[in-house]
Amino acid sequence: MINDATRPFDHRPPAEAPPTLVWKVMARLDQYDRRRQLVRRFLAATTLAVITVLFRRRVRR
Amino acid sequence: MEAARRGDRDAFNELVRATYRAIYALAYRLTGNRDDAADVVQDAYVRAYRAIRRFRGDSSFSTWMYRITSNCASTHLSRRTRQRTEELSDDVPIVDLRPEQDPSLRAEAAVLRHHIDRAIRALPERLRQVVVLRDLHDLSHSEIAAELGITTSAAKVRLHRARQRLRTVLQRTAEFGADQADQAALPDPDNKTRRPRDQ
Repeated sequence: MINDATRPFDHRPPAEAPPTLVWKVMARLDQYDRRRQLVRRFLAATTLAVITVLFRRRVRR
Repeated sequence: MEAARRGDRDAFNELVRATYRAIYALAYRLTGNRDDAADVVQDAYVRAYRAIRRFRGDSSFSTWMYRITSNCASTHLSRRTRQRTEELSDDVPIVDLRPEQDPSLRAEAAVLRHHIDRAIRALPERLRQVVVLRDLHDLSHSEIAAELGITTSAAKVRLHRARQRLRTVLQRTAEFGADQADQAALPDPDNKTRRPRDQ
């Protein structure tokens, strides 16, 4: 019996989505989440560093 | 939907699972190629994920996704056209004889596309919706009816009227030019004669 898992990719009607597509979409979304997280952390770290530098300058005066 | 809008990733994954087949079918029809369609689908979902907070819910999620997918496909196709390179072998004639590369045919096709775009834009909103959903997004009559909240027969009637109107406008464009055709497109006699059950 041919089901979604055993049917060769090329035998699908062309407009039918390959079953792996949903996982590829999820992987792209994971990648986007990771990048967004990295950007957020970078911005947070940069902001903290700037605040620290400004605070130290003020304390030295 | 609400959970996805609040940023719940699992809820968004559910929306992806529910809609990716239809989105892929549309992307395939727009790009004509499996690989490009898969790329377009991935781009479309990432765009949707980024913008989900701004989704107002005026239309259904699938209609919103169709719009994003159409935009992604056109971006993808224009990018691909710019980057396209082909190696020449010795037996290929120097002049490209393929009809799709013929400048005059391409110009004619561009003019025709422009006239069709113009004619579609000139349609009243309720007629334009059915033409776009049927001929661009390839939705069935019943899907269009469900999307717009009308009966299937009303969807068929609207589609028939829209195509009739497009035919008239395009015929006038061919005969008299775009300005005359615009005059034909402006009045909306259907609004006067529309029966209540066609709403």
